[in-house]
Amino acid sequence: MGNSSLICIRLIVNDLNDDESTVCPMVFSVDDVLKLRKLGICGILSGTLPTATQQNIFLSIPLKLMVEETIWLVLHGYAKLDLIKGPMSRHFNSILESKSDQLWEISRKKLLQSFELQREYKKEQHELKLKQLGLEQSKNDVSATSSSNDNNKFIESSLFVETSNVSSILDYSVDEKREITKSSTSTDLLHYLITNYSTWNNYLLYQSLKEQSYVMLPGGRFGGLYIAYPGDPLRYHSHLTIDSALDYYNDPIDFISLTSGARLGTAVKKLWVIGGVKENKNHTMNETINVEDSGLHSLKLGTITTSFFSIEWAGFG
Amino acid sequence: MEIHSSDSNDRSVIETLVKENLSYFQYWTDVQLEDKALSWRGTDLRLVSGIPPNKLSNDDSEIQREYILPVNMTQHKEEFITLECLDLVFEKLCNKDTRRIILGIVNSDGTIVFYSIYNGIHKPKKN
Amino acid sequence: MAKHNSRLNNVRYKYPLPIHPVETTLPLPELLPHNPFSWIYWFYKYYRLVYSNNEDNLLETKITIDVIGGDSFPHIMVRDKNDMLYLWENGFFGTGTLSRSEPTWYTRMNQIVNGDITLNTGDINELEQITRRRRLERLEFKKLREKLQMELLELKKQSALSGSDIDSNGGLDETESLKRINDLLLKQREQLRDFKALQESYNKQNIGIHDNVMDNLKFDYESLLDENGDLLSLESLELMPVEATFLSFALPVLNITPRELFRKILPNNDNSSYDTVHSFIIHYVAYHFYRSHGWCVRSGIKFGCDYLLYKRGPPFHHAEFCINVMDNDPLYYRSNKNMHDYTWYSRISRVIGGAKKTLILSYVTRQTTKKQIMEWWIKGQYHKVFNSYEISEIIYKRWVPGRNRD
Repeated sequence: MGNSSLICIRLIVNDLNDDESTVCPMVFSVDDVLKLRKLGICGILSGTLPTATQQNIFLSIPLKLMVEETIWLVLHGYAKLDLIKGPMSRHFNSILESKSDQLWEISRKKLLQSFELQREYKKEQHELKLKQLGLEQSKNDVSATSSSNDNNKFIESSLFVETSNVSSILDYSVDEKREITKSSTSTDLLHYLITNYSTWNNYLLYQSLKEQSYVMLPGGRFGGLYIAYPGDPLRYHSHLTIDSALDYYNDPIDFISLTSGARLGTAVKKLWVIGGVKENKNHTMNETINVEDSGLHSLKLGTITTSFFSIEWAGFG
Repeated sequence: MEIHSSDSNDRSVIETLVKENLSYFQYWTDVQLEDKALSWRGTDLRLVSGIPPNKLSNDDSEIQREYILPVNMTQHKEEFITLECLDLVFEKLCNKDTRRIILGIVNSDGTIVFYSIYNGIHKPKKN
Repeated sequence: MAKHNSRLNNVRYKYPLPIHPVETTLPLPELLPHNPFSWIYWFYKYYRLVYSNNEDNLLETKITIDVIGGDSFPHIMVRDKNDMLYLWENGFFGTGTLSRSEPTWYTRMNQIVNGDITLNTGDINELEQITRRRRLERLEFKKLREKLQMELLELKKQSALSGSDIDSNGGLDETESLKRINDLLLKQREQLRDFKALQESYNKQNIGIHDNVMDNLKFDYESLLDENGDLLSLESLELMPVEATFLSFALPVLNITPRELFRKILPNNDNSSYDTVHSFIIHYVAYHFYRSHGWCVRSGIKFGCDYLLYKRGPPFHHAEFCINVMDNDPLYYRSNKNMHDYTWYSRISRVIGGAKKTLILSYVTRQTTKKQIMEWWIKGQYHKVFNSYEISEIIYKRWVPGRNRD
């Protein structure tokens, strides 16, 4: 696959404050928009004229993509990432211009921060796995560039400690991307997207639905994460609203949220769908790494299964 | 028939509330507590079953026995049903060909609401 | 008829709350405008009522509750038929466990058991029957629509077939088959409209569908009768924990002290930490706040929020506002459970907007330390506890630029 055939997704960056920025994936080429549509990815057209801003039926390029769509496209080798650098993205630029291991480190810190908000025993599990991976000692010399390659490997693994079976997919695909684009910045960007702008389980739900040939659009208007169409949205009505991923083993189902979601769904003729990622509990890191030879596509959901339930008002009570 | 303070077991209380609601408010017939139980976090989950007065979905060919999982909902606390638990309910408490069960959500405000829950991704019912 | 109903309602739901400070045991004497002595006597009586012996204002016997389900998911039941009615008629407290809101199960079942249902002339047109009838009508309508859609599909198939071999057969040409489809469409539309009109006219005369609804029920009425052939009273009135608290702590209506009530409805109340009571306190504070501003506050679970506010009560108007109690305590709102993401706001505002109500986010803020709160709580000084919270509100509304321009 040559570079020319890759869809170019440009990331627009805005700094919010010193350590936060927003990233918006955009596609500017009409040809790319067409390619995306054929892949079952619609995005949202967002280009408008300053003098006719209310005409939102007539919007044009750029096409705005969901972060999950962006990750899917890059992981499956359909697209490359490109950063649009502007005056608004001072902070982001400074990160990207610094050494890549520093980016990894920031991503890792962010992920660790998000872990901290989670339940106590999750943290324990996390530390347990860190120990297993021997990351404890290498923490101190992360900044040392000499051992950065090894460190990166470890850090990459640790990032997805909750879903360890997945991290090595990323690990692998990142390597593949390196060969394709010869640009470590693009993979850094991908990594940055994954750790900062989406939760991995939401992405896995997206991927699972995509493999069942559903077409997803953002679901905010219907109170969910995605709405799903059985085919192209111009040909079909959407009949599913997908809620954000639940932790399969630990999150209790919130029935207040479920009833309001299903109630809204019934009003707009959609089923309310909850789902989560089932982890293979016996699965170890080494097993996943061994699968690397068989290639990215056979690896896709090999050891991951998702579980969905569809809910609607029962018609009484 | 009435439940009194002495029955402090959560499950038996909501099972009875759901049974009474189906029998005397929704006009279901032959409402009963199923024998099969699933041990979940120290409690035994059982389904309630019964025959509704009319078809619940236009997709059904005829009126059939429906299975209800009673659950609690309050404003202050969360229940302990997870996705894993729902999978186990379908696996252990239902027949192989069961496509849906009904959640009987018992609120703290005297109401019970019922939601159909299908295993996997399902197409919405006609109309 | 609407007027008639509202007059009846005004009489039936005369009191906004279950205690009536002026005129319980001692009704005021008649006030004769032309007789000054009657004024003096009236004021004397009024003074006695309001300022002297407050014991007179209490209920003769307090209402007994039954708490079932343990302290993790308590259900607070009122079993006595008169008590149920009293709580409903005086401020709309509680919900009938076998009804939509007002506990009407006994009346409804009595009608069915005695075969009175066809005599129903509008006075006892219970909410449950109306809902039931509407749903069944909707179902019948959908069946007809499906049948008609099949007819249309059939015709389309036929014309597609005949269209394909126009030349060989000299069959229908395209415009002809199009015309036939259009005609059928028009005819069907009319049919559906007529059917709806028929249903509505049945509604007005109170005949039709709901007669055979009840006949079709293979319901075993016998099981509902006692040995004398009288209908058993199977319904209870359930009070939300906040309602029971209000009727025990704020008004002396329930036959239970607040401390005793909390022991039954809150987990581990005896050695409680602030964490176990925090959520209950902020929900009660909000409930009390709106009750004391004269609103009739009922559960909003149906709409995914905490409370509904009625100006007077369900028989008078629809609820205008939905209240969602927001935890404004930094110690708690950052926890996963209380952190709402954008989709939550979008969802709840769509559900509430769809019901033509206004969503109010009601932020409850603690004004003193947790330690202080717990000191008061353990001493049973609940008024001090509830007084240490402040409420501020924000209206949240979906705004669509295209639709909200005028």
